[in-house]
Amino acid sequence: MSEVVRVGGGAGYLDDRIEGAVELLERGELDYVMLDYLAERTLAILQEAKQAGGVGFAADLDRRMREILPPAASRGVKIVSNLGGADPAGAAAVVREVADSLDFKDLKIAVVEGDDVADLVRELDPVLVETGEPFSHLGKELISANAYIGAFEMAAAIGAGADVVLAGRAADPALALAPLIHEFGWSRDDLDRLALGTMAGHLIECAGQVTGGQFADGAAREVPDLDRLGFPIAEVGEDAIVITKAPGTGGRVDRHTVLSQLLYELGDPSAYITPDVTPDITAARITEIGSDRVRFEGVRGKPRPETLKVLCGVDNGYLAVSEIVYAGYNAVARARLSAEILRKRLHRDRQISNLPTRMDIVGVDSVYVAGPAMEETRDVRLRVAVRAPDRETAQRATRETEAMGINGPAGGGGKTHSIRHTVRTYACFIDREMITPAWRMVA
Amino acid sequence: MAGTKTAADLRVPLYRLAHARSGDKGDRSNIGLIPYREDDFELLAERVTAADVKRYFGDAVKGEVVRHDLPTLKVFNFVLEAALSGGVNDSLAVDMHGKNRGMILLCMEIDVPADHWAAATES
Repeated sequence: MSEVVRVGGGAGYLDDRIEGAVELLERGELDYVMLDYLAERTLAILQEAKQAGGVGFAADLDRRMREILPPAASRGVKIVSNLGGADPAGAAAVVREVADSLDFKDLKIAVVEGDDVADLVRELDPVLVETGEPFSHLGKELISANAYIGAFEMAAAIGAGADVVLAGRAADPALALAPLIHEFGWSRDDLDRLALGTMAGHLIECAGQVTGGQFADGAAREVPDLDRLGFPIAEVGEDAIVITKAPGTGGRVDRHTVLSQLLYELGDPSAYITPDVTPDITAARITEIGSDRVRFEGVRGKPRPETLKVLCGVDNGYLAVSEIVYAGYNAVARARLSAEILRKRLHRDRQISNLPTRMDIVGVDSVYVAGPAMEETRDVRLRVAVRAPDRETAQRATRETEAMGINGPAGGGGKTHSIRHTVRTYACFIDREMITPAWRMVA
Repeated sequence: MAGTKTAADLRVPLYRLAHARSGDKGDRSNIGLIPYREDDFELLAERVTAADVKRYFGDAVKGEVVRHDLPTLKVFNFVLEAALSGGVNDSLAVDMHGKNRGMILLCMEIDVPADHWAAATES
């Protein structure tokens, strides 16, 4: 048994910076690296791509693996990831091909499957958290349904010798917890330790967001060499976590950056619900113990819930965004006039008049939804967002903004628009006994 | 700490005393509020209540606001329900994740006793 296991956070989302991951692997002296590729809606998007004849994982997975595998495999750093997305076996085949081509032929790859519960959702028709009604009442086709699964299957795969573990919708922090369960031999009843390992995962699951990302404020709060932001390392023992980062990289790790990430996406701090354990951090302690080194301890664990959270993805039409810019005297007044005219014109189109529509003046109050008034800006952008049921209607909704160049207030320019298909997710809870994730080694 | 506002209080944006980070889960937004000085935890506990934050955000937050205190870490977690126009999957807003909600909260002005402010800016 090791005294401390070094787990790196090598990705915070599907397209995160590869340079940060490579530097982490080269300099971090890691035992494991976790790659969190899935945000809440990512799986629905991947499932849809797969159903449309594409792949159910990151489309550039082979390119990413070509850069990440060599520094990992040559140092014996094991990879634990949810990059399997909607098709762990398919992702494993890509990783296998890359490994073979780079002469890492002995690399053992395992997949964890069983998070896809679409059939179960169709059968059970569970009540959705957002609507309080059964799924079927949405009257929409189910694109995807995935349960957040825990760490124990991934830990078993590591125990069987896997160098790369590819899961689908594994809970983000479980990616760090899995190697810790394996290394320390933690059981399902070691609640405080499972909770500690889960918080280690929580702290590094967004990679650079704990080492100085999302922290610099352009004035007082400085982050050294943010352009070379170093990715994090959790040194986890049985009683405490030390968060640090790869030597020689940019960023900062101190009480403030670690607390910022600790609170990120948190609900009740006495009950951070995960599939494996429910950590309580209300008595936790944090200490700066050295340069870029912060110790976190005092985490307590409560039992895991008897249900698993499931996210169901459904079609949500096309999001059409169109924009036009105004500058100089009365820029804001001209943007407001433009919005008023657009409202009238869009209202006359019967297929658009009833669609969800929003107009914002970027540069004034599009994001600044509260707070004291500030000085008027000199150039602003009118942004029109419409959610349309089909692409053709979405396109028509953008045309009126385009037309404002000639048919609207003075100075309208810099017109641009985008149309993209969207999915939305609904949450429900399903009895964990009905969901059986399983791991297997792939050839 | 002075419990009532006195003539000696200064009006100070929260930005000067704390930093913040916001995240989202569906239509729920959360804001972690972190005082720069641990000693300011008590002051902020008194002057930045859940009701203050609910009032500050007005129509932008349709649901309730709950403040969770973490006294050993000297930080707060505000949870804002029905706060993101439906959430990232359904919102038509510019910042659909509400990533800037924390920075917006830091624009809130609070009353700080002048002697406290002098001590805070010295350190």
